[in-house]
Amino acid sequence: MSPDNIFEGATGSESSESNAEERKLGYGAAVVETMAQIMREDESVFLAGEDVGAHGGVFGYFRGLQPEFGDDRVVDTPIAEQAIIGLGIGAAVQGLRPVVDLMFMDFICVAMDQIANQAAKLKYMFGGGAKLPLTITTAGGAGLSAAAQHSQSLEAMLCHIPGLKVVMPSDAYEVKGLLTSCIREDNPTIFIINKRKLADTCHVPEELFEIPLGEGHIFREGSDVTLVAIGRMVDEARGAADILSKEGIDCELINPRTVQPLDIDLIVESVSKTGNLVIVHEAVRFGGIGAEIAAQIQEQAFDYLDAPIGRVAAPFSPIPFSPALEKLYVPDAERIAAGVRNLS
Amino acid sequence: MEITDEVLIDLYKRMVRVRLFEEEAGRLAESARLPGFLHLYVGEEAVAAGVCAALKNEDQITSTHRGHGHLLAKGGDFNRMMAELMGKATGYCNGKGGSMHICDLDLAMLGANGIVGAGVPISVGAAYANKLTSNDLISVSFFGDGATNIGAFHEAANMAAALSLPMLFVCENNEYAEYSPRDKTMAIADVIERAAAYGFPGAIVDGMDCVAVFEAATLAIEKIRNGEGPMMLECKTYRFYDHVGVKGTASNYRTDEEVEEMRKRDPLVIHEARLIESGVMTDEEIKNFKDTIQEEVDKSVEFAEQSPFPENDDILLDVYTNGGRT
Amino acid sequence: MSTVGLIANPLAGKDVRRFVSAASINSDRNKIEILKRCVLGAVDAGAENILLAHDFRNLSLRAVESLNLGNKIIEMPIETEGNRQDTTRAAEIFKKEKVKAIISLGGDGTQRDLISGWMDAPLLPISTGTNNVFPFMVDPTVAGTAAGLIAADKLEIEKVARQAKVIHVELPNGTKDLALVDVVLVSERLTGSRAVIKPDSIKQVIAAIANPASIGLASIAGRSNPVYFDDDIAISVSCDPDSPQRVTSPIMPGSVSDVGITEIKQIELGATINLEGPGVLAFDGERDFVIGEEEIVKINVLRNGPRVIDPNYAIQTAAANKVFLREE
Repeated sequence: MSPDNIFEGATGSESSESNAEERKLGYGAAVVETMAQIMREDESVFLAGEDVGAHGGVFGYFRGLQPEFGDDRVVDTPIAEQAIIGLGIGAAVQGLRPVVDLMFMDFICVAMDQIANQAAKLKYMFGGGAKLPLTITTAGGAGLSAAAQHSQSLEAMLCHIPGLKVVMPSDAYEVKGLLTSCIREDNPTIFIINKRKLADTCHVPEELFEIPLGEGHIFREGSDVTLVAIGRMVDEARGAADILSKEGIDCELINPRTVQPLDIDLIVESVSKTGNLVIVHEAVRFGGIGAEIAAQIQEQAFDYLDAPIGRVAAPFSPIPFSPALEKLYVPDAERIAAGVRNLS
Repeated sequence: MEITDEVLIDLYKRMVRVRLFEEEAGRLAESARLPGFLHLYVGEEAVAAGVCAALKNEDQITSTHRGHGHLLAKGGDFNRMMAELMGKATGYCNGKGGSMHICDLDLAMLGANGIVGAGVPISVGAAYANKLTSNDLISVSFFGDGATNIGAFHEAANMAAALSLPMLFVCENNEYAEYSPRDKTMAIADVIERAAAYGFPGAIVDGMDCVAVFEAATLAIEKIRNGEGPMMLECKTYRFYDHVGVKGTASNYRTDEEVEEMRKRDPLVIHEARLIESGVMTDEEIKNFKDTIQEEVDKSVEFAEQSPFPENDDILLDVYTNGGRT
Repeated sequence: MSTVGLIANPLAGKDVRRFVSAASINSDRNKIEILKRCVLGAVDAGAENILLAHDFRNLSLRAVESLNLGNKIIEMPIETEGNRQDTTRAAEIFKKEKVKAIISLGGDGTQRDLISGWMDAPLLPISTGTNNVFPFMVDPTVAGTAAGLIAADKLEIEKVARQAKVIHVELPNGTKDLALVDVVLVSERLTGSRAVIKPDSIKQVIAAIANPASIGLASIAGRSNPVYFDDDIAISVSCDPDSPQRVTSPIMPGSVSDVGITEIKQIELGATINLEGPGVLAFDGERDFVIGEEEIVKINVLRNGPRVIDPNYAIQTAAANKVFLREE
């Protein structure tokens, strides 16, 4: 597939709306800006992955890095997902801060031994001696008719493995703040870039800044229902909140930003105020991160709940290719709104 | 590369340390004093000794599930190792890794590995760091013949070659992938043919002769350090004990006669004879040296047995860096 | 019976010289294809049987398994041990079975192992080794044809083969050994990785064939004072890294060394010369025997070696005799 086109036109920050106070930047452009700024300030950072160099990544969000930093620091690797992660692990143990890219999140399955059995466990197995400042970037999410092997959201699988941190930025601001934190973090992190968000712009500061991993964000305050939305679902949940507010339902929208570690305290606090919870994610509903959040909320905030916890997520099937079916597959504002209305 | 008396003695000492420690570990396992799986390296000592003696201390190695030998040959500590084998807090991994995850980052030993072939890509990463920082170090990955049938090996070999990394692939070809003979699991006999397929040189050496391994490794390492890209050294060797433990029950994948025949080529016996014949060490000196090492091994058992198990709280320690606890 | 013997050394062309020189690996697969072509050439030329020596990698068996040659193939089981004695034992059986021509795949070392079992074997050696002074670089189909013609009595071996010289060595312990190309004393203390790789370690080269165009230790002699296959003489060159007298020699493929030499001496066939330890004796390129201080090795060179079939000359002779022409 050639999804470059969705990124074209959004790489720059020269949007007509931009001004000195409100500098806007695209989601994809935030990746490349952050990478470039970090690589300028820290020589131990390098990027490696399939097509990240000469081509600038299949989605273009590494474009311009190889010309600036050379092919030793922006490495085009063979198509070899296990070795790409191994490259990152070995270099990280040596004290460098590698960023290795897996192109599509689905390819994590190809590299799973190196991720789950090696990167995640090295520190613990070695009795704490090893530090592993490794960032794995990968593009997740459906909506481009990329079908069953190029569209998945597999974050729940990763969250289940102690030793990993799993990060899901929902906009360009979070891309910059969270990617900076990931690269400066001494643990292996998986940074999931949503490929339908690449062209979306929002305010992003010029300078590097960190958003702490494990701290969620209240996107919108409300009093009737808590909506927890992950990654790009924040956009859809916002749409749902707008629809519902016209119906007199006031939603509080929480964006966890990282799903491992998970800011459960923030959700508990919100639910104890609203008494209702609906969780939204793109991944399949069964065994998704929503199940974990629901379980923890019933453990910690059962007495506050006015209704069973709702979950809006994908059906239990591979992701269909047909645009007609894929539209049904991925939750949208209407379905989320319906999910909230269904709370009894 | 002069094969001086010092080199011959050094190689011998490395092998004896591995042998005596492991024989003891085998006895402990048989008497159920060690928990978990124990993969003994006995028989293959010449490989670890020969390669490690040719390395700088800072050169990194990755190892296999059969990893005690690699760490000990690189200078590993008996006490911490024995304690780890018993799951004690004083062990190399604070008792949380065990035999299959023995490591010592101070000795640039980046870990034994419970997943066959998984250390090879990690060595590629270490080699890449060496290249990027121009630190004049190389990384070495030890792996078995069986590991060369797994994808990780092939990805790593190709990547090391494509990126021209300072890395030595050391294949310990002991002719068995766990309990399956090599000729049942691969259609080639010499793993270096796989190096050729990825575009880098490989050579075969007698893996039961520590001097042959040392010489060959030294030659390869000099070239690799000189920027000539990866190379593969295939050491034809043999393990005297079973894949796991000492002697498996109902194991008929190889005959006792075969093992006895190979034991005639015991790398320690060969080298001892050579030391005595060439007057480098006397019978007496060899015996004394072995006694000293055995004493150290005995003390390590004592140390390990007297060491405490990890605290209950430690179950959550070191899952992550920073704060350490989840 | 018009029988061709066939043997391959699986370990030829795989030693440590691949690290230090531009020597290439010779894979099992490549050897199997060579064996196949030899067999097909020989059968086509009229060989009734191919006596197939087992090797420890079953290269020869794997080569013929897809050829459907039925009872033309006679397997020759050998208790293989994966060492040089495998080749020697095979040669002994070839001798007993009176095969008319042996095709042998390997380098100089392999041919040495073979004649240890049958000194004056009718030999067509094909190079798959590292140093290949003795064996031929030839298409195996042609080699098979040459051997097949001899086996089928369409060519007389006396007309197309020449007897080689052999370097006979008596070791200090009284055992006898031999080499086909060179015996070299090196200042090492052990056999180690076997190959001779340090030019400064070379003390003395005794060469039966010293071809300036060849690769290996004999090239030191060859480039000092050439001695060819047919010359009834051998050569000894003493070396010293500090000597002002230098000779550039490709002691390994792609690896040309500047070797200091002190004395060049011709050796008459039959004359005995002594080498004195300490050092290691290398036979046809491989360190094989440790010589102690003041120990003496006795050497003499005789022309009593294998009858070497030159495949090119054999085919040319056959063509001149119109062997390949036939009326339908």
